[in-house]
Amino acid sequence: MKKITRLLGSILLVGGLFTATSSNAQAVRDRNIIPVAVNLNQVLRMTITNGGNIEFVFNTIDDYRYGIAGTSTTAAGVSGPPAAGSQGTGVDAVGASNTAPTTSSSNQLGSNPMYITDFVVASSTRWKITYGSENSEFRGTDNSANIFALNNVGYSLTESGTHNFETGGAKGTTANGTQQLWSTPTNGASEVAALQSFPVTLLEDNDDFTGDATGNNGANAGDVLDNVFQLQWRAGTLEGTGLTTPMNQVSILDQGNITPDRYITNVLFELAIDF
Amino acid sequence: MRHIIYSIFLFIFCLFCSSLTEAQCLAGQYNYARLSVLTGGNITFNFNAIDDYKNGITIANQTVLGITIGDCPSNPPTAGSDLGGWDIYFDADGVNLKGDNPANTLPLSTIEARATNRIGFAPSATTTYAAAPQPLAAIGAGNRLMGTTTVFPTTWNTHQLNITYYCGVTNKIINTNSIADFYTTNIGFVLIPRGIVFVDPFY
Repeated sequence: MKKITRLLGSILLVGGLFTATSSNAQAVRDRNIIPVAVNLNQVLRMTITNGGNIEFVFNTIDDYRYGIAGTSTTAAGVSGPPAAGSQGTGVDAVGASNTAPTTSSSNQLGSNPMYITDFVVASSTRWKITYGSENSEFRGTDNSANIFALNNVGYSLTESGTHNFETGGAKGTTANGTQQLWSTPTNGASEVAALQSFPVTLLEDNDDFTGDATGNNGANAGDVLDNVFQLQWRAGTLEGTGLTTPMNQVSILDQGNITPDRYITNVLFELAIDF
Repeated sequence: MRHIIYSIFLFIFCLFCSSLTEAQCLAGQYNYARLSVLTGGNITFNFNAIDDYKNGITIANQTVLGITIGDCPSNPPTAGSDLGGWDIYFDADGVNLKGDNPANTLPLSTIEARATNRIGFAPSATTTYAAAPQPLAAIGAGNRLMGTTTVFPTTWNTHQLNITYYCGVTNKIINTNSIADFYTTNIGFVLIPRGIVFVDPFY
């Protein structure tokens, strides 16, 4: 019995030692998990900072004949025929992006904030602005049967922020991350355009998905320092021939059948994500 | 009967003896390792303003990791089984962050992390840190945050690291055109031992 016991003990002893020093040795690593979340809240805001109410007052024959413009190339109150070749040619090109328009429309007043609308856009994604008159024509307030064609009113578009309009003549032409904006009615902010009925895409992303040297891609997303715009309004200035969105080529004077009234409409601006 | 009891006692004692050499060593392991998250076990970046989208968000020293690691003597000795150092890597358990709408994704690279010494891991010639924030990547492609060839054995209460997180600082969120959503992923911090016979399946 004692021998059996000792034998059993030896077996257990050896077995215990063998178990303790198993040949399945391995390196031990450890991993710990931390959940991470990124909460993106959409930033999408348009602010009209100036000129939220535009009113043209036609008091003189020259106003009717040559129109009223907000661009400033002559002293206030200049009247008379426009410079030769400028009226109705429709090729009054707006200057390149970030410069003031050089239209030679007639009867220009001095710089007049009444005919200028300034607005800024802040967006965390690519964006677009759809705009237009909520009615198909201006309607008289004294008599709603009196109508005044929308295309008697027009505008030019400029921007003075860090973003730029496409200069290649078509949307997305320049793919280097430096031209983030496009405007179809104004042909890339290079032309005067007539007021249109809602909805018309006024401003949008230039669909440039490349990056520039600083690592920024061509998106028009940005803050109010990146997207700074100005609409310079005009009425009855006949700008349009050859343009993408021409104004009425007949002067208000020559239209003949416009009843004196106060003609109004609301121009809507809608900011949305541009997918 | 006494002899049987004596034998059983010897057996149990032998088992216990094998683990007495290192308190943390388990039978058959070259080393022991434990990575503990002491604070900051849940990270959230909230993007509310355009400036966040343009410049990103930094959360400094948000997570504290405790490091417990040491060598385990092998018996009989195994050539090359001595612990030669260790590293900390971090990675993610997916290829991108996913929104509540699974169609919305955010690149992993928008998130970065950086390790710094809290206690016990002063930078030196043998204890080195990544010089810049490292971008998050999928498992197997994770980036090294720090490592050492000399500082061990360590315990969590005397050896700790701070982890600083960055989101949208290098890879700006405004450039990703990402839809507003709540994007999530899991970050893994991995403590990896080094040695001649220490072969990690990923790093």
